[in-house]
Amino acid sequence: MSPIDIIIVVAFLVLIFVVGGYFYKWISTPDDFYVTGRKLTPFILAATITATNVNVYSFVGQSGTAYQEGLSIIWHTWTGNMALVLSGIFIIPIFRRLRIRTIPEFLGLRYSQGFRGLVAVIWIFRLAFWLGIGIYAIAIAAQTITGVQSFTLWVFVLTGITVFYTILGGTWSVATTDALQFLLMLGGALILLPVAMYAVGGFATLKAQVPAEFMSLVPQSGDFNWLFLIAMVLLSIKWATINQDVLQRAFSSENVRTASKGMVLSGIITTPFALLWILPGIAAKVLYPDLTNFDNAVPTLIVEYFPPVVLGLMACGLLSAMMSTIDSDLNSIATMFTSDLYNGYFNIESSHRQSLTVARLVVLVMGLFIIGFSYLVPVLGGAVEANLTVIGILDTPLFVVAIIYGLLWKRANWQGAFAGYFAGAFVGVFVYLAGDQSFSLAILSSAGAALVVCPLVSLLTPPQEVVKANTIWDAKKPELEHPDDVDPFYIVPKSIPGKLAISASIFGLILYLIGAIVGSTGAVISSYLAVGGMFMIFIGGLVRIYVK
Amino acid sequence: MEFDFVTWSVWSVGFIIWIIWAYLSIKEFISILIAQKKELDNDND
Repeated sequence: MSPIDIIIVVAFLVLIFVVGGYFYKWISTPDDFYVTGRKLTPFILAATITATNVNVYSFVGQSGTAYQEGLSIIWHTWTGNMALVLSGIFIIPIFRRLRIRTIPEFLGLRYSQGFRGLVAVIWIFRLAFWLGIGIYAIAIAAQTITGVQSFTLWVFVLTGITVFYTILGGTWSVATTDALQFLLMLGGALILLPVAMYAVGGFATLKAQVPAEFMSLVPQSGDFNWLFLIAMVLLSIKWATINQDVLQRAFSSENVRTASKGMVLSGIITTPFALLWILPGIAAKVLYPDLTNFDNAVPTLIVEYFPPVVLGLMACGLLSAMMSTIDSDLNSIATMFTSDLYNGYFNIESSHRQSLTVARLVVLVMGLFIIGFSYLVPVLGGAVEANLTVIGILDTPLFVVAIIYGLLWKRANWQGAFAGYFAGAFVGVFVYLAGDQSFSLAILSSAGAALVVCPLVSLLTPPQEVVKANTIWDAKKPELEHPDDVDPFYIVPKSIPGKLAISASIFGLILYLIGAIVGSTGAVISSYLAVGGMFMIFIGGLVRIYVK
Repeated sequence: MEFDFVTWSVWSVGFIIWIIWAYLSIKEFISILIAQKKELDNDND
């Protein structure tokens, strides 16, 4: 990296440091720190959701998988986008209307405080581990791209800056720097695609030089085949309905409709951008067919083809991608610890000042933890991946008891939720460890166990007090919105265009699933059906957020 | 080399979204900044 590129990267880090730190004076209550005092507007919200969602894994990991397996890995992002739209029009309005700050808080309202505390602890551990791995990944990537070979320097600088502004400005800093990082990150992706295509001789040349199956959106075989499309859409819906770091951004919206708009718009805008990092991964396959570490596909291309200044800007884009995810996760951990554990168990009557101090301390402690853990990642190796897999499996029964039974079946009680959650977790982990370590099979078994056990135990135990379920059911109606809100958001719309819009989204999901199933025959039409279904979901979602 | 229609179509869509988002995000942020400044000034008074 040339001196001018180093200057660009340093200037970027200083800019983030200054912008992030500016918001200190905007924080006077815990809600300011956790959810920006619920003042975020649609496009900033969509930017911050996208910045949280897209990270170094997208640029490095997904492009590396595209290098190895082909185009169909793009559904990892596209199913997430579809899920954001569906969650935005059906689920988020309920959560936003309840004015919750965390998903465990919802579980406390629906089931019990014990369940709330349990899930909060699991989620804090989950995010803390993920942050340690994230910092490790970005420090390695920063070394490769900048040529500044000091792991310690990158870990301390990146963590230090992110922790600094998250402590000072909470979600205000996180959301604003995310919006800035969103622009830099996608700006970097816009540079990457033409450079990669120029290097390979254009899209037609690229297509001619890789096997036909490699460019198939719904392959009949391989790790990312038609079955992957079905598993991914289920996992993505789970992700977009219970994932704290993404949903906390939506909870920061100024009203219910804005929350819905932010989710839907974020899903739609990320869709074309996914091609900007997947296609370069495939181009790298032609340019460097013998790479042993597939994750080096795009970094190798960047270092070889990017001229000075452009390289510096691309490095800022990559750093942005990871910093925007890390700050959101830090903020989520602080919110869950303070809101669900500290205010829930240890100091229920705490003052605003006490809560803010605890939240900031949690960010600081977590910063120190992730610095330490990032050094352990290479030592732990496979153990880290196994741990993340197990934690990932635990999310599936949570989705079943929180979203499926929690929102759709009033008779589900806390005993059923606990039993369903533990049964699903146990079966999922057992299937994963005892079988051939198939993540998809573990997920499906886990969901199946929770689906059966939760209603069984609920029916065998006394019904829960009606008020708990009613609180949630009432939130499905717009009456809970602010009395002055002149633009209520109905989940089942009142207008014909609104009804047609949600019908289009549901039909789009069915079309997508049909496309995936047709993909098992190897028919070319499967790709058109799956992509057509995705577009129907988007069009339905887009119309829905703008009509009554 | 022939014009690469696929690459530049994808790029153009991404670029248009990027420009629109930059403009709208900045516009929204300025509104929030003004409202927040007013609120802080009122609190100080």
